[in-house]
Amino acid sequence: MKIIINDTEYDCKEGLKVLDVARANGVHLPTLCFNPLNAEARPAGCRLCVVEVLEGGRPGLQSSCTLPATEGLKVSTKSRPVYDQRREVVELLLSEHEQDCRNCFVSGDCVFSELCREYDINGVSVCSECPKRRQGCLLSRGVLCLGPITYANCDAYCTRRGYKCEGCHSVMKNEDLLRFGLAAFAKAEFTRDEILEAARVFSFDGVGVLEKVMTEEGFR
Amino acid sequence: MTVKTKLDLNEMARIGMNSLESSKPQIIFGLGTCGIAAGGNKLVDFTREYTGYWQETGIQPQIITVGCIGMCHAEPLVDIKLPGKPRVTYHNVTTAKMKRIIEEHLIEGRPVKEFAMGQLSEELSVCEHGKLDYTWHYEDIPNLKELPFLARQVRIVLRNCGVINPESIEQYIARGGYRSAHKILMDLKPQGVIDEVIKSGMRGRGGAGFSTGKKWQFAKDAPGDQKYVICNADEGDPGAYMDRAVLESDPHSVIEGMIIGGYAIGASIGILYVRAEYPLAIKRLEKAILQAREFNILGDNILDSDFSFDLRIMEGAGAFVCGEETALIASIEGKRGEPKPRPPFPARSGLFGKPTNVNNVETWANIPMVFEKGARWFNSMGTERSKATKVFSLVGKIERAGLVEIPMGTKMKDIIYEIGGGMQHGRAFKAVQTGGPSGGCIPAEYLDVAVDYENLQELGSIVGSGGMVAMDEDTCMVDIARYFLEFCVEESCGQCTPCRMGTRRMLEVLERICQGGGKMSDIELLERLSVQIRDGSLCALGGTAPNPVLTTLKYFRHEYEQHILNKKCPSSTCASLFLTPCQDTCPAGTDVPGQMQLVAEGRYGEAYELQRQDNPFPAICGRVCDHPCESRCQRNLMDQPLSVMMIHRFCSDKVLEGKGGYRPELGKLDPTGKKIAIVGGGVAGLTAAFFLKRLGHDVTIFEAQSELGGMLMWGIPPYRLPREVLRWEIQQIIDLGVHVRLNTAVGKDVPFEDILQKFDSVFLGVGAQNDLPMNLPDEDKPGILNGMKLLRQMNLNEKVDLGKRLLVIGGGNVSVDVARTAHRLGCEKVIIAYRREEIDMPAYPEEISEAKKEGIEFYFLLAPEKILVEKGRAAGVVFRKMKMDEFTKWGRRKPVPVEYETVTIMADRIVTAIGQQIDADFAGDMANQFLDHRQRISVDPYSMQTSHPQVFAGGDAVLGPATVIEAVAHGKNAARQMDHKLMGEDRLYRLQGLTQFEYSMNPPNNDEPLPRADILTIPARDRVCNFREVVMCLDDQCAVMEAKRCLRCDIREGV
Repeated sequence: MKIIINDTEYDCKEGLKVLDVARANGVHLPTLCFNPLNAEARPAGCRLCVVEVLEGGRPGLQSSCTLPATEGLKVSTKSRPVYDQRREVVELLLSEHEQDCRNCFVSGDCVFSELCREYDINGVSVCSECPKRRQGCLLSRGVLCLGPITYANCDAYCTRRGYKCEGCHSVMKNEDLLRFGLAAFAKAEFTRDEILEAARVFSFDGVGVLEKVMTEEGFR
Repeated sequence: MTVKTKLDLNEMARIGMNSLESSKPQIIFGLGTCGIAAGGNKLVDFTREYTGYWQETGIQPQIITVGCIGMCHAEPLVDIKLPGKPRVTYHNVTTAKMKRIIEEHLIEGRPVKEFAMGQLSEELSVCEHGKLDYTWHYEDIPNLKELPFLARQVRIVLRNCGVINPESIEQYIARGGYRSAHKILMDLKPQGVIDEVIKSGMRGRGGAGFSTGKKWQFAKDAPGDQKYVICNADEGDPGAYMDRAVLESDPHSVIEGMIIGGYAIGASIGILYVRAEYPLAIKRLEKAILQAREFNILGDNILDSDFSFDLRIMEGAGAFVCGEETALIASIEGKRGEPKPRPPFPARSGLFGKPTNVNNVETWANIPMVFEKGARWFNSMGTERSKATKVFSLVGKIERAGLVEIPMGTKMKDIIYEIGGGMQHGRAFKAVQTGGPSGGCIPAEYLDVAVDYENLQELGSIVGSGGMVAMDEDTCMVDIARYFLEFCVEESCGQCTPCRMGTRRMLEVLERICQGGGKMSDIELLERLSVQIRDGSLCALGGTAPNPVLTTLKYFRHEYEQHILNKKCPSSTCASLFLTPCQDTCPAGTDVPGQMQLVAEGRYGEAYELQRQDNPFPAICGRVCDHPCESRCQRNLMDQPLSVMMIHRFCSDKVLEGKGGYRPELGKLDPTGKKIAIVGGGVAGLTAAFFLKRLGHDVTIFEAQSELGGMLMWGIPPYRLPREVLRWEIQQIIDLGVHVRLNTAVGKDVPFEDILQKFDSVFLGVGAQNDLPMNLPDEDKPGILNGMKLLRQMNLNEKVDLGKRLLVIGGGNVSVDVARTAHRLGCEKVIIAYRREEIDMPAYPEEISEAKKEGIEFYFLLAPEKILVEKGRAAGVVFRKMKMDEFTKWGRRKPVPVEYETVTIMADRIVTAIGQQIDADFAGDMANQFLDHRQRISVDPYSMQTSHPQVFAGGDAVLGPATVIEAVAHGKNAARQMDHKLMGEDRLYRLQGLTQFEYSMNPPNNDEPLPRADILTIPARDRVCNFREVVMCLDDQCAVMEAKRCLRCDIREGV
């Protein structure tokens, strides 16, 4: 039996799902609710593995983990609707996500930060990508690292190499995220002006929101 | 007794018929849940207590309970049946009524005509057996079949509802029940059954409309030793209750349908999944199943065949998502009620992994009739793709709510207006929500849609389970979207991300909008989220949850914009956006409760000034306002609305007479040095001048006529608005220090360009005085007069020759004013002809009724077609007869001509008053810059700014002929926006703080019903040959009493 994923034909056995075929052939499909250790249970809840059925089935978006691979099925894993849908799902998940990346035990190996990078979402801070976690955190060593208030997507290039974050991916503009970030600075005894000065280096225009949040939070 | 043969069925039918047509008098109570809620049980107890009375009279009536006939607006319903005579149905029965009904009808045999709704002398449903037809019937009592609520219905599913006793299997058999099942078990092979169902075109009534026959075929073809049929009675839509009604009123029809379905697919067990919130339905079903088992209709080798089938009831905990078939199956299996991805479909792997067929209650109840009357008969009804009937539960702000079963393809307007009787309290229809939280809102412009699966889907809604919520003009569509989304958020099972989190985020956005914190980008955000949730969710709950938002965004986007940009809820629903409904409804935002309290305290002068803070014309609005505030008065729900307009008038009359007492001076801001020109001294212009002057600007009014006042002066006759009152109130504005240049026509005497140069900002309030032409030949012949021009001449006391017979064409205030003025000037006969019906007339209803009192004749549904000319003069008009037809976008019916029918009205003079348009001379060559295709000045509705940054406009010039209060609102808003533009900040609210009014803020104690104060008028015979004011002012005592009726909605506890 043959199915077509992204214009490439793949051979597969009867009874498999599209996700299995894709994974077996190295086609990337993100999942959160699929557990390879319990591959029988497929709740199809996270909706990240959606693919667009083009031919050979009910057209539209369907979750590949439950979509049976049938002869002549043609799907796309990277069409525009698929991308939009996955991006929306990641954004929605982030909307209720505890953004305390600095204290999170998966920092540096965070599936959300990978998804944010993949779907170009400004949703998490550099701390989510920084592998130093708690003990090695530059802030706790007294270095003015802008990681907690800087958008991720750089794979923490600097901190992985021992340098502090300079905020080159721009300081966050989302007030809620900034509040989380500022909490990290609270212990580190930096003044408001020091932080603002550092933030202005790469985001001169972007510190307005930061200033506002600092005032609201009573940050001095 | 075990039913074995057809003969036995006949025997049982005979027993059933005997109890339906008893030789004893019967009292029949409609005791569905709805009837019980309306007090039906109390009536039964009351009637039983009468037993002592029975023994005296020797009459032993049977007390019988039946299900719900579907007329929820008339509950509780009681039928009286005397032997051999048709049932008489009494509606809204109380114990007092019940007593009379028993005494007069049951004992003396005379029906109580006043309480009777109708008699059941003709069969209501499509039933062939056990028909309730009578050759004899009571006189003077309408036949139930002819009532508008029932006349258009075709009752297949509801065939026995309200007719038989749901707890009597004999009565069900008497009405033809179990004959189809018997016939099928004897004669047909399972495949034959399925073929017949496919041929009938039956589609699932649960909402999605999948072909029932095909679904059965899948389940039959699926391999498996054990198969199941399931009845989905997990009815959870807000506003839908037809499944409950069927289960409560006719449980056997569902059982019979399931027997047939079970036989067709080879299932030996059927499960009824009923939500536990329906205890009565469960009780009656249990009883019905026991009865069926007793007569071997359920069990082994049923009905003497070799087919065995039994039913079980499963009570669901009432989760909405369990209406989804995979979730329902999970729930029966004892798991969490969560949907599973399909495929595999339940037809292959359903309950416990066995082939399962799930159908809705209504679908099952249809099945016996498909076989009793044949697939061809079933197929002949409805539209091409949607066959037969659908039960809708028509609820909301509709006159006659209830269950209606109509053929597919019935027009929505017929459902709303003919069956439902239109909106309550004569309000305008706004939208109808079909399909519950998964459906959408259909606006008035699509009232002509023929209701079936495809058409509703095209409009963005669904048939769904059949809820139909009618909404009137007082419903906020953003709030409706919020409400239904809130329901989905609560009911989302939480399994998949888009539905669990997406609906929550959408609800947060909608709540933000309802609380006045919305941004314009929120609309796009909602649209984006809606599409993603619809396409990305696991099951139908998430897939349809955004429908209410999507449809309201599509059809009522302007309401979202109003909430976001103006922070105003147009229907006064979103509580965070307004203080009281009256103040919110008043375009000018008059503080009505404050004024009422001040009047109640006897402080008339302060009451007058309190109103003048928002509206410089209390005396004028007390006479000629169309008082939209009164229509929203919360007192409406108790007795009658407050007479707000008469209180306005009372205060101002007191102040004018000098008896108002203390009058605080309204505060002003310091001079700013900005110069503002106002072109046109009408209502909008004067209002703008009033506010701009108080804001500290230097204001000059340019007026082309010899006096200020605009339409108030030239358009409204003195018997409605005495001139001294008008001049007094205008003078108060001028006394603030406004410069006035009379007899100065901008464009003629002063070039518009000069004004633009000399002044910082310009307000155009030029009005709309030119009469619209009728566009008929011979319109310029002598004898034809223009309404507005004539009115101006008459109000200037110029001599006009009106002849003896005057014909006025048009239905607005101008035409009624012309007619009433002409009547006062001595015209012998005045006729008004209008092309729509009376309720459509734009003129105020009070004016129309006064005009009728004065003897003015009205002709409706006449559109002018030709002017008759005799000797070079117009002598009459030929009208084409019209009829009201399809609905337009605005929810108003459109008049269309009736062919070959004309009416000729002869007259000495003919006045045309069909509307006005702007006189665009003011701007000379620049006119085109401002005017739109309708010859009105086009402005941004929120900032009142025209295409020229310096120029603002308002009033009739923008709106077309509008009301006084709308013009005041325009003037006020323009003043605010002009000031904002000039000074760089919003300063109008500062004026409010300059004068303090202090009055009691204790909640009043006035919840006793008290009718509103009568409005007295001078007798009609005193109105000829003079212009005395017709409406009289309230006296002190009346006014204070009226003001004290105010419920003070402005007091909020705990705030």
